[in-house]
Amino acid sequence: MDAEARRDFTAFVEARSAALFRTAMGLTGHRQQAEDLLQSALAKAFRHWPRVRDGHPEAYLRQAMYRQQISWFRRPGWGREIVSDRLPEHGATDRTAHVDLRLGLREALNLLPPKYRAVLVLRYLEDLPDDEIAVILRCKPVTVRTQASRALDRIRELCPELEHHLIEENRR
Amino acid sequence: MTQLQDEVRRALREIADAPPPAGLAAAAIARVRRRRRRIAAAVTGAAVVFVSVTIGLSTAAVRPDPQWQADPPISATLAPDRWVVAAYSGLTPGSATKEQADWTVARNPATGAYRTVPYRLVTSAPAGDRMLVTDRGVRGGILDANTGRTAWIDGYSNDVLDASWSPDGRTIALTVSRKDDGAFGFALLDVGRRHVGQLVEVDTTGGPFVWAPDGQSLVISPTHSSGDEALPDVVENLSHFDLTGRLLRTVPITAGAVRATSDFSPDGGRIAMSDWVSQRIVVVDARTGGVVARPATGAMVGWYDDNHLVMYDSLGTMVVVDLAGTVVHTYDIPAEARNPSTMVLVPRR
Repeated sequence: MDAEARRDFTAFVEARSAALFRTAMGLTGHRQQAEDLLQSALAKAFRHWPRVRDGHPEAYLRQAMYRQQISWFRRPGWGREIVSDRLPEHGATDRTAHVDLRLGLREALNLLPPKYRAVLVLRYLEDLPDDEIAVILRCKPVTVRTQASRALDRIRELCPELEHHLIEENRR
Repeated sequence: MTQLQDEVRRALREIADAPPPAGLAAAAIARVRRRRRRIAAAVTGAAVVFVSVTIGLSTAAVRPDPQWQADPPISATLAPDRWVVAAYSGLTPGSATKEQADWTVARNPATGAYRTVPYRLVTSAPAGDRMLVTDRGVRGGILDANTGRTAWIDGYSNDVLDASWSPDGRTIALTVSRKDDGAFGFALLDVGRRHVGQLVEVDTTGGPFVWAPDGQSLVISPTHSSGDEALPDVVENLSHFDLTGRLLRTVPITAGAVRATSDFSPDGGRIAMSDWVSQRIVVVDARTGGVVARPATGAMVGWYDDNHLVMYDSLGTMVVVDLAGTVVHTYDIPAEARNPSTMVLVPRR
């Protein structure tokens, strides 16, 4: 690739890496996996940079990450081991209920199938309408709504303390 | 919005609130290079393979460029004593969006006036009277700087990565990476006949292909992965190829990559290039590869004479320095020219 394309690509990545990495973190919940996911999408974009740069490169990269994340989920071996740079904190006794809730919710998000998680990220982190989410995930808007609903139901099941917390909040 | 949705939104934002790692772009570029090498190794059994190339210039249409007359001239203070800025183009930060189109400021040699054209500059003829431009990579053409007319090239594709105009002004060497099969090499564009030859596939990667000052051969800086995705690739040497793709010789030049014929000194004896790691300009002996000088940190533009360089310093100021790094002249240039993607200097007539 020529020096001009390399400069242009590098300038774009430097300008948008924070936003793109935010999406990758939202999708994976883990720094190493987020970096791997984003680099994979960036490599794909750089291979086609003359074409990508003339379109909407950020949208291209986001779409690549969402599709890649769902695709990786289908690979043998995915999900058998979740790497972590933090020790489990369930045994701690000095946490407040609020911290408990946040940790439980994070764990629930980590246990969601990637497609469910992708729908939630697109809806609640990226704030995209269902029609746009459907285009990115190559499905119908009604499927987006169904999956979002199922994802929230699944979170309720995985994080029962969240349900208790919400009930308590409503009573106040 | 339910409370559950609010909690999910808050949790996702907390998770996503992390600074990005450094070196993302360099790592992605390194990945692509490794993949390209794998493809090249799989496809090429022999060192050099001749195959057809999809780009062509057979029925180029010539039309006046309406932009040529429309824009007001920019400052003419760009011209140094013996060199004149023939063209420069802008692409860097913010350009990678649909909203910001490519642009090139080109000098009309007949009048000395500068005009803006809405195309990306690829390379210029040594005299600065003709330029290879591309319209978003979709089409490519030759801009006549005297008339403002662009002869568009039928079949030009974004397989063309870079281009180098021969010292005699007759031929353009196109660096090509064919997306269909990953083939990498060069194709020669006969400017007069408007004809593109076959792709000469070369079992190497790196680039671009650049005319050597003798006008008889091409040089390229092959590269391989450094093994660390955060670091640039390693330059292996400077390889000289004849125009049939036969490797003539290699020179142990590893400090950086040659990217234009203007990296060679006017007498052809030395090469100035940017060190990829330190970003310092390094001057090497073109025959032996021995380091002659490390004058300054910045970006190379070209040689002012055999003992001085034109370069951008770290603040984006274009200066002339001697080989010890002493600034002997500072140019007054418009802000838009302080960080161009391409800057072309040609001898003043």
